This record gives sequence, structure tokens and C-alpha cells, in this order.
Amino acid sequence: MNNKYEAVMEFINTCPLVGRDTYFNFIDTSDTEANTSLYTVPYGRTVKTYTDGGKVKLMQFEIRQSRNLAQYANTTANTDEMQKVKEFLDWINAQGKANNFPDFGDERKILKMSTPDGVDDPSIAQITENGALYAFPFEIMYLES
Amino acid sequence: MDGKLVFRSDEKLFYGVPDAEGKITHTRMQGFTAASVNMNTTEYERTYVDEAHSTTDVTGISKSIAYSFDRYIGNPVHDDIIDIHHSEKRGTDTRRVITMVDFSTPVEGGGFKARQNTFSVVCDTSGDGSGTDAMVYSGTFKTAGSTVEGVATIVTPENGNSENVVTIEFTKSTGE
Repeated sequence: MNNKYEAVMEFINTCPLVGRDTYFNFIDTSDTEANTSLYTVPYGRTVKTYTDGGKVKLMQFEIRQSRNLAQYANTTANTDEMQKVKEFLDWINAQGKANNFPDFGDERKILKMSTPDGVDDPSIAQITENGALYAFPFEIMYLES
Repeated sequence: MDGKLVFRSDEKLFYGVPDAEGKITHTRMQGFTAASVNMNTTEYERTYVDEAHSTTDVTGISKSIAYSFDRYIGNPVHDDIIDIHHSEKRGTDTRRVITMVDFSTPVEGGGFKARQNTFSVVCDTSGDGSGTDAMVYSGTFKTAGSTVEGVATIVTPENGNSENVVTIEFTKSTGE
């Protein structure tokens, strides 16, 4: 059976907005160049169970990007950084609408991939010594036969 | 109790999907959130004058299966039921064979214990459901014939098992 986490990480690496290889459940905040991490959010859950044993399951992740944060007023630097993360969020949703999904193998079929309902913008998860961690959640719903 | 627990998914339903020539393929009913069997028994109850208690006999059984499923593209069972639904079919055009296979009861010589009935597909609603994520169809399969006991053997996939079975073949028991 495919490693789901590896499949999602490889998929995120195909995003032209990522730029570098993605970290998994770790981020290097000391790196002054923007870098991306894929975090798992506890816990994956079964959304629905069918009478024949099939299950619809939900996996949740958070994308975090370490980016610059200007600490002075009257600059568009921070809005520019936020916009870049927003474009990454939009890319995830666009792939979901186009049914362009990670490869979970034959035993799992991805049904939907998107940010959760109502989440349309990223936020700042943490201020770091070199900038900030910008973040947004997304989730993958899949059918396991 | 020492016996092994039988899960709901150990008994699977297979729907007889007809092709254009009328050939039936007994296909696993996947994507169903409800498929509860109701025996709908007819009872004859009376109290004999020399007895203090009443006596009840079951004089008839009219099996029905209340169903609800999330529609998946390319699922032949869903496609057939939806065709009955949207084409507003009536009469014998709505009759389908459904086989209940008990994968917890293997049969000597191969296969699993199974019971087959002909049902009328009585469509009820579409678009209902607790959420808006899936297109849900629901209704009831109502009996249109007697129960036939038999044995089900897995046809696909080759060397399949109770978890990955897709289609079966049903053989009526001879009663020996």
C-alpha cells in the first residue's frame, strides 16, 4: 500500500510556487530563504462507513511556509508575502477542482482535495527570528475499499 | 460467548445488473450507507377459549431492504438504479435480483452461504442527505418473489476474497 504522506509530499513538490523540496513535520526557521513544510494534523478520521465495509476517510494537513516579515510600517513587503502564500492555497484548490490528486495507489481513491469550507486565506502561525511562518490547512477525502 | 463477532460488512449484497442482452452480473453494492433488511412479517394472532395466552403464527413474510447510497461515477449498480429512478420505470422493468452473501459462513466444497430474492426497486428520493458533499439516492427494494437458498462463489477479481470481491456467481442449492 502506498505511503500516503510520501504521496502528498511529492505532490506538494510539484507546485511551481514551492521552489525547494518540502519538509515533512519540520521546518527550518533559521533559513532566510523561503521554505515549505507539510504538517500532519491529528487525527485522520473516518467520515462515513458503507455497508460493504468501504470507508470514506479524511486526512488533514497544514502547509507552513517560512517567509520574510518586515517589521516596519508603510511597506507592501508583508502583503506581497501573504499574497504568495494565498496563491499557493489557490493552487491546492485548483488542483482539487481539476481532480489532479496525489497518488494514493489502487486501494485508495481520492474523492476531494481542498482547504476546509470557509478557509480562503492563509494566516501567520508564528513569528520567528528571521521572519514568520505563514500557514493554511487543507484536507484530502478518500475512499478506502 | 466464545464465538467470533460477525461484522455488518461480513454480509454483502450483490445487485443483478442487466446488460443490453439481459445477461445478469451480480455486482457488489458499494457506496451504500444503508441497506437494512426488514422481514415485514404477517401474523395471525388468536386466543383459544381454553388457554389463558394468545397464540401467534407467522403466516407471511414480505422482505424489503431500505437503501441509501452516495452516487459514484462508473458504478454499474448506481447507474442502473438511477436509470430506474430518472426514467420513471414501472412494473417488471423495475425488478432486479439481489443476492445476500454471508462471508462468515463458508460452504464445504467452496463458496459461501447465500440467499437470493427478486425485488422491485421502489425509488424514493434523490439529493437528500445529512450533508451536501454527496448526491444521495434512497428508496426501498420490495420483494417480488420467494427466497432462494444457494451458494455464492467469487468471480472477480480472480483469486478474490471477501474484502475485495466485485462480482459473484450464485448457484441454487439442490436441497440434498
